[in-house]
Amino acid sequence: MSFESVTPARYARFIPQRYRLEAGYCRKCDRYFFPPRLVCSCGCEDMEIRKLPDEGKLLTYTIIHTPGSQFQDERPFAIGIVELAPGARITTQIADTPFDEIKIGMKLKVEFRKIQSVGEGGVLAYGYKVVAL
Amino acid sequence: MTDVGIIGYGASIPRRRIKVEEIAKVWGADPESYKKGLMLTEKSVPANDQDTISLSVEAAKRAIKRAGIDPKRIGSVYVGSESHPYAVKPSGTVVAEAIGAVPECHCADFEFACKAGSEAMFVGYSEVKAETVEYSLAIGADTSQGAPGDALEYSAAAGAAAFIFGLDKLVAKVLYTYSYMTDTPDFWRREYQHYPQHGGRYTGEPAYFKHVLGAGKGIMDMAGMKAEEIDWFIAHQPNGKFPLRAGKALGFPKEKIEPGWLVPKLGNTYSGASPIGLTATLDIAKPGQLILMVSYGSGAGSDAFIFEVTKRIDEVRDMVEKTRYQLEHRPIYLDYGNYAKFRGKILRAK
Amino acid sequence: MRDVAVVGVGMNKWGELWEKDLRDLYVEAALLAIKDAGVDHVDSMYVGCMTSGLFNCQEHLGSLMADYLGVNPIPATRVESACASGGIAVRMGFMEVAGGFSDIVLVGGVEKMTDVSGDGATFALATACDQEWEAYNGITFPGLYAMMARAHMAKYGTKREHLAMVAVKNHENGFHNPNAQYRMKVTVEEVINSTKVAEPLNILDCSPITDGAAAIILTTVENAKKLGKPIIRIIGSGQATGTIALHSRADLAAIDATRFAADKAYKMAGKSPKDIQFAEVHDCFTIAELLIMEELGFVERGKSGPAVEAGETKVGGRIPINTSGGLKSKGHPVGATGVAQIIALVEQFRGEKGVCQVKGAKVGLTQNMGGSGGSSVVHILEAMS
Repeated sequence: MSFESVTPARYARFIPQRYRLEAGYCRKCDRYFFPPRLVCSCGCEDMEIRKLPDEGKLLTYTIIHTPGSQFQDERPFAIGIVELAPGARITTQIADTPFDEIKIGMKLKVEFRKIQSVGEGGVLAYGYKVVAL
Repeated sequence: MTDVGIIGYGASIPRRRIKVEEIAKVWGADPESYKKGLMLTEKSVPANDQDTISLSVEAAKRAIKRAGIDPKRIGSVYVGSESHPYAVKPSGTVVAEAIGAVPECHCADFEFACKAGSEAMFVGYSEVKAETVEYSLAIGADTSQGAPGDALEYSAAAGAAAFIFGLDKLVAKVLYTYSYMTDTPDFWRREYQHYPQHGGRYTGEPAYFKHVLGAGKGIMDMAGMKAEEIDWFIAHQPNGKFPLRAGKALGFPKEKIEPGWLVPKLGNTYSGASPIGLTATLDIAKPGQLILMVSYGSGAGSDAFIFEVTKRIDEVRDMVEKTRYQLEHRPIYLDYGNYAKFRGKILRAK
Repeated sequence: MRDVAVVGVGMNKWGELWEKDLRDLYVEAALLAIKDAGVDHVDSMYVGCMTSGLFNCQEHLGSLMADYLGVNPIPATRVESACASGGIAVRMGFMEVAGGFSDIVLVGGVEKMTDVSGDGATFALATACDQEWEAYNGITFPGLYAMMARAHMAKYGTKREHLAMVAVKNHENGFHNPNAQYRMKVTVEEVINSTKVAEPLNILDCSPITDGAAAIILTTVENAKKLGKPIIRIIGSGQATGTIALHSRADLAAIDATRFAADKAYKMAGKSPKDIQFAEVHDCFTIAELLIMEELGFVERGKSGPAVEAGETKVGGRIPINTSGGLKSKGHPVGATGVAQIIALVEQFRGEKGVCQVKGAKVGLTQNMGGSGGSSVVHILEAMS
């Protein structure tokens, strides 16, 4: 029994988010949604698309030693929650940064990286990671 | 004739490195002889999550920042590499999406060993000159490999350089272009082979030097220029020695070559080599100065460009991380085991 | 609304049960509960299970379990809410009896997790988080809780040792539970030095992979009296949702869904946190128990670490938590956990807990939650004399 966690349609659907950080913005609440949504919790359905800034603050993080199989070759790796704009936070790997330099509150910038490869011949899945400034 | 040239440029170099000593240790070789012979001490290594596509995107973003244009106006995206992640599906489509140039955009991947990058530049420049597109993005990027234990393993490195060509707000005007090629089997990789093969010493005189010097002499004759009139020289850099020798043969002293000579620490970034050298040269060039860049791709051929730097270089050079800064800032050194793992030379059993 | 009582309980010994399959596990526990209740039929049944589809390639559990229990054609409903599947199944059964739709309802939870590889289990469990925006980027379950732990430690000064103390306590309790998967004691040092999973969590901070099932029989208080059973009433029930992704929450060191579920349960029961004598909570990771204690109002926000250090949650302490051993020691067959928590309370009310007995146990609370806190359900039970 095997499962494809990244299939072509699932992957391509969110390219504007994964590649360009396109988020939804509710004017009424002055807040962002990442990914964009059909409806804000205030009930507003008319949200505009806005690109998120590519720098943010680290809110929390961990070092993963036991990842899922697609990430086995990268362990151990750091992953954290970064706030890019009000309401818009991403759960993302912290790349190229020695673990002892990672501190809650540090500024990180978004970089385009390969996130997963589906086996030997499957799709290459790209997306966002963050690195220290 | 309207001026056409580079309006934005940028490079992306991975932070990971491996030293010659680390590689030599594993194969029982003498590191000093490689360091002397190749004139290089270490090379860049792409991490697991970096490849030609991801490095191209980062380089392109930097070029866009310096160009100060809306990426939607980029009419073509070309990526030249000999390590495209897909054999079928262009690296360029991912780059075009990532920068937001889609959907009205020409896109293609280029391939000509190490001169795929300068090919992309030539075609991008030509489209802008012909005014079939407003802006063109041309990238040279590679994460190519040398076979384990082969001499190329000491130098095969990773990096990307991106250039946006346009008609206004030029940073560097293209004054002349020239190309010199033959069918020369000095270095190749057959389909389905993982690593390339090469002709040993045949890759020197009859290959690299014949074409680099042919293109260098050819473009200077065409331009009616002498080496003394040109301020900076960048050549393809498979090792530290070749570009210095080629430069000397064309009349360029070491001082004119050094700013664009990154290979001693960077290694050979294949399609990225002379383009990255060009970005490093632009980082220090002054308005009015002339730059000669000669690429080389096995198979074989060389593309040459003569650029004239404009005043605008002073406005854009500091807008993003300079190339030398990326090369020297906070390297992360790897041992051979981790290097082999990242480069897929050893694979975890399924 | 009618008053609802728990009249029968049943569960198998949990562990890596190579010989038993998904349906056997459920049916075994269900039969034990039916016998314990002394009823001769059930009107309706619930099956709490997170993902038999991914673990066993089997869905349509309502039909499967009703069939193998021999009770076709009664209605049978699968309930899924990640790790809160069992607890929410209990609530569904409670509502069916309370609302007058059925008189005797069987609620069972089950999970058979060991038929797939470790990787397969990690993959299946990760479906409880946000697939596209958490799992895609490499987060794991322990990783999510590790991030919550870091946030709590940064905000309140909670120490690594406080997390380990939760594991130590729960293993001490589980040691005495014949149905527990891991009946061994551990020390703080052993926990902190065990294999790293996602810093600061080590393997002994994490609940295990377990096969198991648990079942209860719910009926009206009137029926319970007719059956001659001690009356154990569900006096409060509350359920709530939180955001699916941890990163969407305003406070990364809090689990709102639990607080909202608890508030509703307290209100329905007419009780407050100080009325609760003991509780079974969802310690999928040691940090979870610390956060939950605060959300349930047992301690002030941020003070759970010191409270555990002072022994307040041990047997004999101010508010014993997880006297069954919790998920940590008892095991965590995902869909069964919420149901087993009710059983743990019943065992206390029946005075069966020996060394782990809470003296004069009368009012207890169960808290079950899914994922990193995306759903939560709280029940309050009272033993009427």
